[in-house]
Amino acid sequence: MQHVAPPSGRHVVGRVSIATLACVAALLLAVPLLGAPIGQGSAHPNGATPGPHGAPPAPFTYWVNWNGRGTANSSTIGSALSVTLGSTITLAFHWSGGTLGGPPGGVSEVEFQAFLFGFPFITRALTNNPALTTYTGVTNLTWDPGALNYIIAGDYQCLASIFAADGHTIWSESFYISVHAPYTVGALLPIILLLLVLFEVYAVLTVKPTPPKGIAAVPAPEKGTSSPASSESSEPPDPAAESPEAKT
Amino acid sequence: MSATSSGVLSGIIFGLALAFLLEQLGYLSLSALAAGTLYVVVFAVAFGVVFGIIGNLLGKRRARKLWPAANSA
Repeated sequence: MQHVAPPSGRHVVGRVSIATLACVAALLLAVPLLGAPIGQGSAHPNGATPGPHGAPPAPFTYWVNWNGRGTANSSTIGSALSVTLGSTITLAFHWSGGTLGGPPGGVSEVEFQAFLFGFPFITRALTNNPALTTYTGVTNLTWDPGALNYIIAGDYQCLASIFAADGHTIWSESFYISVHAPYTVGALLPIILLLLVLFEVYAVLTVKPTPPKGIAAVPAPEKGTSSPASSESSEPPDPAAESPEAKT
Repeated sequence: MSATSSGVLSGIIFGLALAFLLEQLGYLSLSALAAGTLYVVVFAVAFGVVFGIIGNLLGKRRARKLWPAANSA
């Protein structure tokens, strides 16, 4: 029969010491999560901060306003935010919540992007130095579209992002905007495209046939004597136009 | 350049311009890479074919008027 010796006082002290060390180590590891700012926000990809004493974490809430109008309900083309680029735009990046401390990593940079064919053709960013680590806060990204008001219109996908100091994305939201041109077709690009469309219809309706085989092509006129358009014509030459008298 | 190829070229430019115009007017969204490329390619190809046919027909018709002897056979 095997006899198990009762734990001596020395062993008990050792176990208590190990348990105490483990508790201290756990507490030390938890300090960055409880304090502000939080160095590695990626530890909480959902933006939640653990609450004290096992309480459920209170998630951070982020949102962005386009000139005071929320973008959260504009996640599809059908619900695109109707905007004009005729005046200064203020994108207000808000954050709030969290049980303790500010947003993970602090708000170091906010960025706005508008996409065309998947590539950002408008990018505006604002850097906070030092990063904002307040419990709740707002950063206003103000920019003047300038001549864009007279150039572009239409529906565009946009991305509003908040970055931490180490560069990782704390939060981002994709939304759509419907940019209205002045007088609906008043921007430069729609007018140019409309003219191009009409010109191509005109071009195909006035297409010139190629001469059949066996019929000599019209000889090219000498340089400087005729317009370039007439050199591509395959119609028979006008004798009156070729004669020296006709030029006078 | 033949009437057909002129029509195809006009149709491709027409399709591209029309896709971008519809995007500007809010009827299309070219924000996403795949969907935007698909729209543009479909518009260019479709109108290239249609305008090519129109150019071909108009070219033949005008050739018959300009060179009736060559086209009577």
